[in-house]
Amino acid sequence: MEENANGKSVISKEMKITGSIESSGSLQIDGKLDGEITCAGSAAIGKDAKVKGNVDGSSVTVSGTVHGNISAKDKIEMKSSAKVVGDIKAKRLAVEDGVSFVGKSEVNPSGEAAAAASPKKDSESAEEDKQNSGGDNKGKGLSGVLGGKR
Amino acid sequence: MVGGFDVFKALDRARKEAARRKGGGRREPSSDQEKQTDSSAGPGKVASHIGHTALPPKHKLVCFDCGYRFEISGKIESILCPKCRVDISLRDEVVAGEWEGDLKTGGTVEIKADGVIVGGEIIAKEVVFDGRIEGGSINAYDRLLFGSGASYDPDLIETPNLGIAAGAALKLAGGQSFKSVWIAGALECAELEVAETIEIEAGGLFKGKLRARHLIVAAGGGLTAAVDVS
Repeated sequence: MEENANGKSVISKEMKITGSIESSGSLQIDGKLDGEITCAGSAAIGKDAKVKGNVDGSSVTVSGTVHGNISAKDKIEMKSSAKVVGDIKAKRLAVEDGVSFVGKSEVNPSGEAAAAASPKKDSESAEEDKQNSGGDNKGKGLSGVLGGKR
Repeated sequence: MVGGFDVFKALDRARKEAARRKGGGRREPSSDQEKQTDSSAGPGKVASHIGHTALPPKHKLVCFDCGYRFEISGKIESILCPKCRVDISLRDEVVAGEWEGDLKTGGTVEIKADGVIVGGEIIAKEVVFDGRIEGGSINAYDRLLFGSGASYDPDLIETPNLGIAAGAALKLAGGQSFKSVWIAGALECAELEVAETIEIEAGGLFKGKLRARHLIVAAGGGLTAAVDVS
């Protein structure tokens, strides 16, 4: 494993590691890894890299193949050549066109979304009309529609 | 008889010919039009001013009567179908208040926040939907943009490409499929299938289950879903 001038540890393309890696700094993986990655800094999975295991870092950039879950305290970035099979969890996410991703995603930068408008059916709208003050719907306003079914 | 001006012209021709031979045998453009399109002129030659020609935008249209699909360029108000010769309106329309009637256009129909569709058939290339639908039907044969004030009924609204504007929130029950989806607001769908691309802009959010051919999430976009993009 090399360390470059920026203090980032690098697993080069020719290396194959079986076992977990834990780093207090940043990590760049260009080789093959059968094991987990735990990184206090940023983790970058290179284009030719293949990782079978979970990846955990402050931010994770994936350009290669990951079979495992990815979690980041800040951001997960998937470049166009990324292939991810597993779940992802982060505060922020960026996905380029061309990515292959199968798994669950838990990324919601803005917190819970506003109450969503649900599709209205005739019977349900009639029921709603009965419950509201009688008469027509004109001028009812849209708050009744948006505040409907969840 | 050779005049002084002829001498100058001959000298100029000779100079250009010599420069052409020196530059590798390229013919000097003789007219302004040729000068403009000669984009690979070498040193000492006339430089090109126009790299490409600006063309008017092209629009894909569908005839409402015979279903014939064709393409036009430029902005016009109406056109005859090349196949059945029916007049097709291309005007943009705005619906505010209650609407009950047919409206067919190859342009854009904007249904304002106070617009309520109670009957009739609305067919347009693009529909910007910010109102309500209580009857009739809406068919946006190119794209539907769902606004922040709109209510959606999947039985009454048909479109291949769905857009959710910023600030809008839409929840779809059951399985839904579209050709492409663009999300700047919030979309929740139990099972969404996208034949081509789903794009989530910064501030947009998708919740539910997703199956698509291409996924693009801009920095700041949210995705809380089971995803299958492969």
